[in-house]
Formats: sequence, C-alpha cells, structure tokens
Amino acid sequence: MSGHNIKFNKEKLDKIATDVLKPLGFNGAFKVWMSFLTVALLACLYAYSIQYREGLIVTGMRDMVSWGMYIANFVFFVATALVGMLISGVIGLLGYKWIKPITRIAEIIAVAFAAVAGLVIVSDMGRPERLLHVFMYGRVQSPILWDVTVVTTYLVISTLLYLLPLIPDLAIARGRGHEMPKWQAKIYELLSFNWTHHPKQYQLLFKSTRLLFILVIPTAFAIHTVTSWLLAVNSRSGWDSTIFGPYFLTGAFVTGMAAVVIAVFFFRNSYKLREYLDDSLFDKMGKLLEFVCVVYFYFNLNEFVVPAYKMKEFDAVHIHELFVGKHAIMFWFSQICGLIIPMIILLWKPFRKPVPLFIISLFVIVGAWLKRYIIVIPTMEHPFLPIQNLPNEWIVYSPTVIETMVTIGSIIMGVMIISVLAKLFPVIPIWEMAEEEDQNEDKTTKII
Amino acid sequence: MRRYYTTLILSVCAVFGLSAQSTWSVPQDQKEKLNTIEFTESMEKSGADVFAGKCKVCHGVPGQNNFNALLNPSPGDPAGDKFQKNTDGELFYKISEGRVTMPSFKTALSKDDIWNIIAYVRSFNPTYVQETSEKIETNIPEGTQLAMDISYNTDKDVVEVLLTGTLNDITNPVGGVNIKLMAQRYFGNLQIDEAKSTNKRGIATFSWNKELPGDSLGNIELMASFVDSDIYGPLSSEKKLVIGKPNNNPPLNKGRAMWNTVKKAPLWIIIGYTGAVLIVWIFIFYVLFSLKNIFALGKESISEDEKLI
Ligand code: HEC
Repeated sequence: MSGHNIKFNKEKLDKIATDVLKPLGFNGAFKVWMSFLTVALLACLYAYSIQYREGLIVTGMRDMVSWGMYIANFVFFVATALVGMLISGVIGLLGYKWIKPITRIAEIIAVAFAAVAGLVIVSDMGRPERLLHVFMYGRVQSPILWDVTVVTTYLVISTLLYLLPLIPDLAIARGRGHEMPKWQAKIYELLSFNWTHHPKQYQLLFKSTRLLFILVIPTAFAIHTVTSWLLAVNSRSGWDSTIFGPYFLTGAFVTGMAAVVIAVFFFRNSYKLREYLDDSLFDKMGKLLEFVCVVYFYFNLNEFVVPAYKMKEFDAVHIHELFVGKHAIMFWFSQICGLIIPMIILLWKPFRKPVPLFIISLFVIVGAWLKRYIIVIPTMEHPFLPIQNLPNEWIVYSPTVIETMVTIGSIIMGVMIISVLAKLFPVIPIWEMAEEEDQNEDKTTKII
Repeated sequence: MRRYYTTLILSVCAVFGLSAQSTWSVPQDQKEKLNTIEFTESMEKSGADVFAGKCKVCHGVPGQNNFNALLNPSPGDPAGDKFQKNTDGELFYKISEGRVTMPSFKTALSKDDIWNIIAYVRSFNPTYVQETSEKIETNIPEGTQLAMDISYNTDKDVVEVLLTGTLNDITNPVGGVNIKLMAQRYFGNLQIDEAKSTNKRGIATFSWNKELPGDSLGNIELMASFVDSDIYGPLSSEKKLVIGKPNNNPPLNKGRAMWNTVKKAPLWIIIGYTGAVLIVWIFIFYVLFSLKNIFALGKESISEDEKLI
C-alpha cells in the first residue's frame, strides 16, 4: 500500500473545490438556524439545571425502573456513532470506491454522536460532580468502566479519522485563496499542519489513516458490544442473552446508515452538491441499508422468536408485555415500520431514489430510537423478585417533561456539532474525489 | 396484569418450595404462648388496619373466602376452621416466622402489632374464648441480681450455663429457669440444642457438636439468654470459647475475584483490559507522531516533477 501513488486530475480538482467550498461559511441562514438551536438548547439546559439542583427525583426513574430514557438515548447515540466505522472502516477497507463522497459526512456523525453520548451518560448521573470518581475509583471488573474507556477511545479515533483526511482539503482551500474570516483562516492554517502536498506527506497520511481504519473496527465493535454488555451481564429477562453484542452492533449499523442517508440528503439539497451526492450514490446507500436491515432482522428473529417459543416463566411475562401488552404499540411500530417494511421495499430500485430513501430513513431512525427504549425499559419493569407494596408510579415508568427536554437537548447538541463542522470545513473530501482513478485495479486498497 | 404476575411468581416459588400437605409444626413452648392481657376492641381495630395493609393481598378479607386461591399451599381464610384451629401461640409463631410464600413478619411488625392482628382475626370466631397467661410467680426473691456464665465441660463435651443469683451479697445457684443457647454465625445466630432448664446446681447443659465450624482458631461466640425474657428480664451472657472446628477457608474477599476491589481483580481481566487499552493507544500515539512528521515534511522543498498540485 505504500506503493499507492496519488495523481490528481487538475480540472476535476478545480471544479470540485469550487463546488464544495462555496456553501461554507457562517452565512445568514446558518446564523438563524444556529440561534434557533441555541434558544432550544438553552430551554433544555434550564431543564437540566432543575435536575442538577433537585436530583434525579425530577425524572420518572425510581427504585424499580432505575434506567430510563437517558440510558435508552445513550444506547441510541452510541449506535449512531458507529456508522463512521461501518463506512470508512468496513466498506472502505473492502475497497468500495462509491463511499468516497460520504466518508466525511459519516465521520462527522460519528464524532458528534460519540461526543454527545458521553454527555448523555453524565445526565443520567445523580451526582455528576463526582464524574471523576469513575476514573479514580473505577473497578476494572465493571463494564461501566470499559464503556467509559471505549467511548473515549472511539471518540479520539473518529476525530482523527475526521481530521486527517481533512488536512489536504484545508491546504487546498488555503492555496486557492478561499475567502474566509480571519479566525477561520487561523484554524485552517493550524489544522493543515504545514501541508504542501508533498508526496511523502501523502504517503504518511495514507499510512496513518489506513492504520486508523483498521483500529477503528475493533474499537467500534468494542464500544457497542460493551454497551450491550451493560445490559446483557445482568441476569434479567430480555437482557440475559448471549447474542446481545452482535444484536446491538447490527442494530447500530441500521441506525447509523439511516442517519447518514438523512445527512447526505440534506447536504445534497442545501449545499447544492447533487452532482457528487447523486442518485447512484443513494442507490448504493439504499442497498447497504437494505443489507444491514436484513442482518439486523435476522438477529431480531433470534432474539425474540427463541424466547417466545420457550416461554420460560419470566421471559413469558416480558414477551407478553412486548407483543400484546403495555409496550406493544411501540414494539410493533419499531419492528414493522422501522425495520421490516424498509427491508422489504428497499428491494425495489424506485425506493432507493433520494426522496423515498430519505423518508424511509426517517422511519428507520425513529424506529431505532424507540427500539432502544423497548430494550431498556420493559426489562426494568420486571425484576425477578417482585417488590411489594410499591406505589404504582414507582413500578410503571413514564418519562417526565424535564427528562424529555434533557433528552431533546442532547439531540440538539448533536445537530449543532454537525451543523458547525459542516459549515466550517468541506463536507466532501475534495482531494479524494479529484484523485485520478487508478487504472490497475490490483494496486488499490482493496483487502479482499 | 400485575396481580397475575405476582401470582405466577409466588406459585412458582411455592411449587418448588414444598408440597402443600406438609404440616407446619410449631415448637411446643411457642405453641403455648399466650398474651398477658385480654384482647380489647381497640386492639382489634388496630389489628384490622395492619391486616388490611399487610395481609389482605394474600389472605383476603376474613370471612369472605377471597384469599388468593392460586397460591400453593393455600393461605386460607383467616376466619376459616383451619386457621382458627391454631392456638394463639401458633398464630403468633407462624406470623412471626413465616414459611415459603407466607412472609416472616418478625422484623416488619412489633409484638404488639402481631397480638393486635390475632385479636382481630379471633373476632371472627364466635366460639373463641381467650386464655391469658398469668403473671408467673418465680421462686426467685425480689431484688436478686441474676448472672450467667458459659463454660465448656471437656469431660462430658457439653456446654454448661451456670445461673446464679446474688442477694445481700450472698450468691446462690438458681434452678428451674429455661435458658437457650445460641452460636453466632455469619448472618444471624444458630440455636444450640433445645432450650434447657437449669438444675439444682443452677446449671443448664447443652450437648455440643464439635464439628461446628468456628473461626480460624476454632473460636465460637456463644450467647445464653432466658427463654422467658418477659419474666426474668433481658439478661444475656456472651462468651468466646475455643470449641469449634478451626475453619481455614480463606475469606471470600481474600483472593482475586470478580467481586473484589480493583487491586484484587482477576489477573486475566486486568491484563485483558490494560493490554487492549495500551495497544490501541500506542497506535493512536503513533498516528499523532506521524502528524508531527507531516508537519516537518512541510518545510522540505518539492521538486517540480513531484509536484501534485
Ligand atoms: C404473600 C402472601 C401472604 C401474605 C402477605 C401473608 N400471608 Fe399468611 N400465609 C400465606 C400462605 C401462602 C400461607 C400458607 C403457608 C403454608 O401453609 O406453608 C399463609 C399462612 C398463614 C398462617 C397459617 C395459617 C394456617 O392455616 O396455619 C397465618 C396465621 C398467616 N398466614 C397469617 C398472616 C398474617 C397475619 C399476615 C399479615 C401480617 C399474612 N399472613 C400475610 C401467604 C401470605
């Protein structure tokens, strides 16, 4: 791979750079959008300040259901963050070229969601000021510590995977005298690391990113497997499952793919990048989404049909609640609208066109969020030892307004990070797109 | 739904627990236990409150046969024959101790509460006539200071409790008093032998099983107390004797274990965790180092034919 010699198509580079750099900059519309988000975020932060002052009693969580919407939301964030690994790591290493224009978008999502996931966990803490104790007194035997470790590591790797391929682009932008405010120019200068397009620099860059691509795969597997273990190491119906790791991981691919489709659809239209984010790209993304949906469906089949066939006494209660009980609507919505229908209709090409795919992805992502809720809360409601004489509101969990606002706040934060990054730096890797296609297939980065 | 669920769990426990037929035997001395005062209407009333709060879920309202029939063994209607055939002492014992699905209320309710419940339950039984225990006259003169001493008789391999009484500076053995002996265990106490009465020499004798595990030296902490603490007072005596089997099992938190502190975590988990973290971070630092090199390369000049852009 050190034999990977890069060559640019100069005209192509010219055109791409112009197109991709044009929508950048904090223009008026962006400012309006950000002020809207800021105001909404402030309202949510206010809700959090109440929780900080009063404690977790302001949430719907009580002794019996002590993991609520926050944990479900955390799992959702971690899941979505995983897409960076799927796109750049897995699909990239397999040698597929069509992902080039969306690698950076996937990485932005990974960075934003991994960063916010950490905050979401803090919001679930009763005494967040003691966060440091996790590191000071953490027990290496506890999956919680593993989770903290892998989330941080994944965030670092994803950030590097975002920043490294950005370096040549920043240099290109500077070299072309792209107009920008002083502070932004300063950032560009800092982050372009003295980049002169020296071939040796490219060699180093290739080597580093390739290393990261390989590294990000086990890390991402670890992050979501460990997250699943937070639940699966408990002997409770609904969690006590040996396939929880892969079940979560494949679920994460579905969520992440949907998030990428939504983001790509958005940039395609508002950044006027239809030429690069074209219909054939959506067709490919649709196929990938279809593929991960099928795999996830397979795991769902195992996860629910096997216990439902056996109906062991405690599982029976749990399954009953999900299939026909209190959580049935949410369960079937997430399964049918968020997984089965998308999986079926994506088989037809017209549904893989941008607009239908975008709509399908919206359903998938909403279904995915609800699915996390379904995984966390119902199990909590069925402990093995029934706790006697509890007031009803301690047994049945329903999130409070404050809790919901804090959760919405986390989503807003994620969107804000994405918005800022996407206006600050090019969303499509200019230099990679302008790279001259290698005539000799064998020399490309395909590993298989 | 919740009710169905509770029932399901409870009956599962019950099926595994024991068969319904086995009788619930109550120790003789407990059976004969009586309240010292007569039940009053106000006792029945407060008993009714406690019953509604703690017992109704399973036993229903007395006399209405609406107890939870799915439970096995059946809790039964408190106004029914089976229930009422119990002596007051038996009721007191069963409520205090519980059995399988019938919870133990020893710690949840005070003695008075339990007597109140019995008063309430008895109010459904028209044929019930209460017997009260008389204040028992003891042969111990008023003002006597009682003392107990535990010792081990190596000849006979028995534990002896000597009860003495001191009055006007004269100490005499006290006979005819029931004493029980307990050995301290991890979670609660173990009764040794049955309750025994002191003999003429003031000695109550308890047979001893030398196989009972003690601490690492064979120490066993013994406690003697009166069976009828209502009469003789709450006096008890404790003593550590080297009469148990030395127990050299390491404590559960001694070795490396999943449940132990970080320092005593299993090696494989420490190695696995730190190893994985180290490997990944070494590579991350390697990449950061490459960035430095990239920066340095920026100062090198590029020959014309190498120029890419
Ligand atoms: C969780 C259900 C449950 C609760 C609560 C409960 N019981 Fe019971 N009770 C049972 C069951 C089951 C039995 C039968 C146990 C057996 O025979 O092993 C029983 C047996 C008894 C008996 C013995 C009946 C007999 O026929 O010998 C008494 C007395 C009794 N309960 C009193 C009470 C009182 C008083 C309370 C409230 C302070 C109470 N129980 C609360 C389930 C319950």
